[in-house]
Amino acid sequence: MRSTIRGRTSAIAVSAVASLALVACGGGGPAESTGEVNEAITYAFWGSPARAEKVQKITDLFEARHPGATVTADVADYNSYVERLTVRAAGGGLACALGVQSTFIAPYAEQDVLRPLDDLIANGEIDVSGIPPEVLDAGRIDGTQYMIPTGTFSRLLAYNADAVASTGAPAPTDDMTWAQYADWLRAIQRGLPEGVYASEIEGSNMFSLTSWVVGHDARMFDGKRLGFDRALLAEWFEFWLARTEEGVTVPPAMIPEQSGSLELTPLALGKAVVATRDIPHIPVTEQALSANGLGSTVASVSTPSEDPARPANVLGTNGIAIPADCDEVATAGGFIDFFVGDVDAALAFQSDNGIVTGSAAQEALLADPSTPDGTKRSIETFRELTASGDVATTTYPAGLSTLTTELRRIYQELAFRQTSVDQAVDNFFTAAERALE
Amino acid sequence: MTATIQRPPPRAVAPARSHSISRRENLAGYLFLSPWLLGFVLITGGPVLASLYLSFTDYSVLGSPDWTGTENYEEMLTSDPRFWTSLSVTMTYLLASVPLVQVAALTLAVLMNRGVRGLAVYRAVFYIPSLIGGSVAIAILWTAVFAGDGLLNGLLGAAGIRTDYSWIGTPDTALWTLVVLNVWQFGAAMIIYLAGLRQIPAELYEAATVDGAGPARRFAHITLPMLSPVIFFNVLMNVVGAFQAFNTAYIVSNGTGGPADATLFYTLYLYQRGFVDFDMGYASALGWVLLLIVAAAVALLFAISRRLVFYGDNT
Amino acid sequence: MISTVTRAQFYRHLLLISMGVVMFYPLAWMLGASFRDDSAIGDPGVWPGAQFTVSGYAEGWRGVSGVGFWRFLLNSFVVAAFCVAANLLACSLTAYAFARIRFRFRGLLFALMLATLMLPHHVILVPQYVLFRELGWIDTYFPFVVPKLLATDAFFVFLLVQFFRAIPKELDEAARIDGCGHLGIFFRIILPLSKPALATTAIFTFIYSWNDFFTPLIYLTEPELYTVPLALRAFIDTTSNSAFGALFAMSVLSLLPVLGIFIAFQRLLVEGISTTGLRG
Repeated sequence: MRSTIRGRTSAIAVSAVASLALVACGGGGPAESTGEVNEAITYAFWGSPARAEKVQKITDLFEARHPGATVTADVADYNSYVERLTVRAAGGGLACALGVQSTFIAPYAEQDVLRPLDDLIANGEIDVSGIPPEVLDAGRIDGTQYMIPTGTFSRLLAYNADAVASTGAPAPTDDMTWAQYADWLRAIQRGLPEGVYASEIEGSNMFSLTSWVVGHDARMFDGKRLGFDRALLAEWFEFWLARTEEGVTVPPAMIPEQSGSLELTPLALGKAVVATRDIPHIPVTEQALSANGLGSTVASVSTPSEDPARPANVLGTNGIAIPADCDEVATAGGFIDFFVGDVDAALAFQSDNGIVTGSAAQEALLADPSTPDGTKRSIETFRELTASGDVATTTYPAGLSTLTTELRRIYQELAFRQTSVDQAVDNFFTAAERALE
Repeated sequence: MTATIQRPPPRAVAPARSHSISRRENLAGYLFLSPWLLGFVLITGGPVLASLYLSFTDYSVLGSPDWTGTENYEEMLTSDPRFWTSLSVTMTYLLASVPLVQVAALTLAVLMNRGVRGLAVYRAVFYIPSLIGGSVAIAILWTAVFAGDGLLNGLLGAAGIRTDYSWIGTPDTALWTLVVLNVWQFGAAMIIYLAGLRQIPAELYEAATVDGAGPARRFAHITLPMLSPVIFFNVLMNVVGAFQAFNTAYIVSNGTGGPADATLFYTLYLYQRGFVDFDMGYASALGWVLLLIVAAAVALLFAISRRLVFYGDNT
Repeated sequence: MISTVTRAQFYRHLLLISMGVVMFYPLAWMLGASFRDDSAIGDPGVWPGAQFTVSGYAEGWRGVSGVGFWRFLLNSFVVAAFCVAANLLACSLTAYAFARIRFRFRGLLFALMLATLMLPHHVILVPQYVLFRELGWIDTYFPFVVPKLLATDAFFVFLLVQFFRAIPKELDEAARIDGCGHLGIFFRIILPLSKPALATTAIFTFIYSWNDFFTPLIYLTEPELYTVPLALRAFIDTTSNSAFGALFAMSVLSLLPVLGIFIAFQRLLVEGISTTGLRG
C-alpha cells in the first residue's frame, strides 16, 4: 500500500511539473487583430459596486456603438483582484481587457503574460493622441507599450481646508521643502483642539517615501535593486519619528487605519488634518468629511520636495492591458480605444479610477454640469501638473506590493520602539533584496 | 435512543486476526471504505507527501519547482525572524484562549444544566457569536470597540479610568483583542459540554448529596471525572483548531498580521508566503513544520490524558 | 432554605442574562448598523436613531458588478447543500465500515483516520491547490464538494462511528437472519436509528460550509461564483467608496438561514451529541 501511495504521489508531482512546464512555456505568439470590433470579451477591473455600475454604462455604450461586440464586466475589490491576478495568469483565465496598474504590471510584462500593444497603436486601432507622453510612458516596460493608461493618480498633499483655516495658520504652498513642511505642521498643531493631529504618519507609506526619494534627486529603483542609499532612508525614518515625538502626527496605533477604507482614515474622520492622497481619493475623503460635518473641502498642494524645481508628485497610472493569450484582440483594442477617447464614456465613468487620460475626455467632463465639483477640481489640478511638467514618473519592478507591506511593518516596529533606526533601515534593505529579486 | 453504552477508547480496538475474517467481510469492508480510501490517498495522503517534496524546492506559481534541498528549512530556522514571531504569536494565542474558552464553556454549561427557564433561548444566544465570528462586519465592530476612541475606552471612562489607548492598534495588546474574539465564541464548546452533562446519571449526584457532599465537592468528584473524556475531546479539538486559526486574524488585520506582526498567526504567515508572495516551496516547508508541532502537541495531550481522563469502563 | 435557593437562582439568572447581553451586543450592533447611514459607520452604539435608512438593504441586494446578492445566497446554499449530502453519504458509509465490519487492518486505518483529524489543513493546502488547478477545478465548486464526497471530514466519521457502536448488534443479527447483507443492514437498521447523529452531521456541515471563507478565497475568482463570505468582502474597496451599509445589511441577511437552522434543530443537535458517547 505504501508503494502505491508513493507511486501515485510521484504521478501527481510529475504531472504537476509537466503541466506547469507547459503553462510556463506558453504556446505560440500573440494573436493578430482581425480589425473588426464584433467579438465577445470580458473586462476585469477592481472597485466597489458603485464603480461597477459606472462601468456597466460604459460597456452598454460600447455595445451600442459596435453591434456584435459584447463586454462582460468582472469586478473584485482591489486586494482580492491583485492577490488573484497571478493565479488567473497561471491558469490561463485572464480577461481580454485586463485592468492593470503601473505598480504591479512589471512582473506580468516581463513574464510575457501581456501582449505588446505597439502594433495596435501604430495602425490606429488604439488612438493615443490625446494622452500626454509622460503619462503614456507609465505603460512602457523596457521600451514596449504594454498598458494604455486610462486613469492617472498623482500623490499630493491633501488637507482639510476648513480645519487649517481655523488654526490661523496660512494655507500650504506648492513649493515647500520638507523642513518648511515640518514648520508648517507645527504651526497648525498649535491651533488644533485636543485629540486632533496635524498629520497622518507618512513614514510607513511606500509612495510618500517615493516622493521623498525623488525629491532628493535619487531614484527609487535601479533595475532590481533600490536606487537610493541607506542614509536617505534613515533620514526619512528620523523625520517622521521626530514629528510623532513633537505630537504633530497621529499616534502610531492609528497606522492600520490609514491604509484601510478611505472613509475610515484619520483624515476622513477628522482626526488628522493633512495627509498624502492620490488625486482620485480626494473626492471620496471630502464626501466622508462633509457627511460627518467635519469640513467642507479637501484641498491639495504638491508634495514637498527638496528642490522646488524638481517635482516630487509621483505619478501612478491605472490602465488596460491585453493578455498574450487573448484571441479577440480587435475588440479588446477597440474597447480600450473607446474607454480612453470616447466622450460619452468619459461622462459616464466620471474619472472614477484616476483622472481620465484623454484630453478630449477631460474637457468634456469639465464642461458637463453633472460632473461632481471634486472631480472637476481633480481634473484641473492634474492638467496643471502635466502642463507644467510637475510630475515624476517611476517604473515599479516586480515585488512592489510585498515591499509596501514590509515598509509598513518595519516602520511600525520602529514606531513602537521594537527596533532602532539603523536596524529598521537594514531590515528594509534586506526585505528589498528578497522582494525584488 | 436512551442506551448509552460505554465503549472503550478507539485506540483500544484490537486489530482483527486474518484467519477469522472471511474474504467476503474483507471485501465488504473495503467496499464501504472505498470513498474514504480514495480520499485519503488523493486528497490527504498524496498531498501530504507532495507538500514534503515541494518543501525542498523553490516554486512560484508562474514557473516550475526547482530543487533547492534544505534551503527553505535553513532559511526558516536561521534567517527568518518572522517565522519565530508567528510561532510565538500562535502559541500565546493558544495558551491564552484554550483555557479561557473551556472554562467559560464549562462554567456556563454547568450553570444552565440545572433546568434554567428559557434554556433553548440562552443556548441560541450563546451560540450566535460562533455563527458570525468570522465576518468582515465583526472586524469593523472589533476595531470600533477596541480603538483609542472606542467603546471599551468609553466604558472605562464612565468607570473613571480615562484613557485613549488603542487596544487594537498597539502591538502589545492587539493579539489579546483576538483572544477576546475567540473566547466570545465559546458557544460551540458549551453546547458539547451541555450534551455531556446530560449523560451523567442523576443518581450519582443524589448519592453524593445524601453523603453530605457540597456543590464544590460534587463538581470535583463527580462532574469533572465523568466529564473528562468530553473535556479531553474539547481541549484536543480546540488546540488543533487554535494552531490553524486564520480567519479572524486575516480579516481584522486586513491580511497584514499587524500591527507590527502582533497578530501574525502561523497560518497567516504561511498564506502570505504562499499566496501573496507566491513562494510556494517555502509555504510548504512551513506547513510541514506546523504538522510536526501539532503532532507533538497532540501526543503530549494524549499522554496527559492517560493520567487524567476517566473512561467509564476503567481503561 | 427557600430564600437561599431562590437567591442562588436569581444570581444565576443575573449572570446568564448579563453574559447574554455581552454575547448578543455585536449582533444587535450589526443590526443597528445595517439601518444606519454610511457616514456614521464608526459608531459603536446600537441605535441608528436619526440616521435610520434602509438604503443599505437596497444597495446590498443589488450586489456586486451586476451580480445580485440573491445569487451569492443561492451559491452558498447550493454549495452547502451538496456538502451536506456528500458528507452524510460518505461519512456514514465509512463509519459503518469501521463500526460494523471486521476487515484486515481496520485498527490501523481507524487510527490513520483519526490522525487526519489532527492534521493541520495547511500542510496539504499548497499541493492540493496545485492539484486542483491542474485538474481545472479553479472557479468551480469541485474543491468544496469532492473532498466531502471522499469522507475527508474525520470529525463526522468519528462522531458516527461512536453512534453506530451504541446500536445493539442483535438488531444486525436479526436482519442477517432475514437475509440482509451489509448494505441492507446499513440502510434498514443503522441509518434509521441514527437520526440525531445524522442531523448533527447535517447541521454542522451546513453551518461550516455557509461560513467558510478560506476555501472560496483560494479557489474562486469569478464574482458570479462567489459565496456569501467572499461576496461580503467585495463591499469594502480601499481605492474608492466602500458600501458599509450594504455590508452590514447583507451580513444580517446571511446570518438568518444558519441561525434559523440552528434554532429549529438545536434540540436534535444536543441529542445527537449526547448520545454519541463522546465519553469514550
